[in-house]
Amino acid sequence: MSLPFETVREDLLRAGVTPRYVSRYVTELREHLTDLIERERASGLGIEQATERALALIGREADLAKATIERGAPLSVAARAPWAMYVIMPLALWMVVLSAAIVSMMHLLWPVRGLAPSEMPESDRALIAFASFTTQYLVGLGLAAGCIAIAVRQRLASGWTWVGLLLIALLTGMLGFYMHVIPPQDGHQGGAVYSLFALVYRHGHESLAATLGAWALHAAVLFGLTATAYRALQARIVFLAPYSHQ
Amino acid sequence: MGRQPNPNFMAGIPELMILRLLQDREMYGYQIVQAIRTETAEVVSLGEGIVYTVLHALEREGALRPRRKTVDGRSRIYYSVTANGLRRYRDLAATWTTLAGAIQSVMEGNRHVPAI
Repeated sequence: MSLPFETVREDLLRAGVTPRYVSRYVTELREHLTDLIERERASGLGIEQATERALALIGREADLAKATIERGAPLSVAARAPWAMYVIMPLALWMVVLSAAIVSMMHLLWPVRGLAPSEMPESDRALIAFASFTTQYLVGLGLAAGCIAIAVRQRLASGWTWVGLLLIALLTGMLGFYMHVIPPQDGHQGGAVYSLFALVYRHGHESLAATLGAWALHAAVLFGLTATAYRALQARIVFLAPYSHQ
Repeated sequence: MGRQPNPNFMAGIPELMILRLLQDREMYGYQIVQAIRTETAEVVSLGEGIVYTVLHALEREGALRPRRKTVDGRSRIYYSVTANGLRRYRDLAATWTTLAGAIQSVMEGNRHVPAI
């Protein structure tokens, strides 16, 4: 049996009410219910009868949710402006993270400019690897996880969530901090090339087709992973949640 | 200029009573419902679950201030009236007094009542 007022919670969340407000309202209702049960018990009723009567006094859950919505309960940003939450916000966050990575890596790499990776100190190589891994994988996964968490927590069924996940996959599939090692050949000294794009080299030259292919693959894998996770969580929420179909 | 029609007679009554009761002491939802019932000799009974929608609406308007307190191991949200809430109370009380006076006047057969 689910906890009391879970239907109120679901109805309000689906109506776009902020989770914080919903949580507080449900807590207050539960406290009120406890007080009413204690009062009814004190008047001589058994626990089952007291609970039944207390629930009847508080009112039908669908009516409580309806009254709250009609009274103008605060709506979340994701409900009022999903485009801002799922497009502008990830874009802005991603740009901040990438900018920070670029600035810090430029600062770190300046003293070792011109050196091949094998000639660099171990700490610099580790930092480059960390920056690459973070901007290529972790940031995208983190942003997608944030989008999914907000959508699931707020029970949003907006197409903007999918737009956001696709955008994150495309951006993080294409852009990031990349290091390309150029081996020494034909008398030329080898070295390293840094880029913000996932450039793929073929026979020592950039290959547009291979670059686009790698980008598409990277984006497809990230989108596939996050979309699967989102669908699974959505299905779980629908399966578990009570909902007063009004 | 045309006068606005009077709103539903009962609209504003829960707000009025809540704002008055909370001037004496801060209370949480359950206490407020019981206080209204007791103070009105059970003539007025506010919905047990609906009281929170009224409280939250007043809070959003800046008329009430919530405060979380733990009493006897129970976490409660106590409400108190703000300066804005006192002003709101005075407006509501004036409207209700005039309205009640007008109705009383009609019931007593005096048709020349002041407009609200």
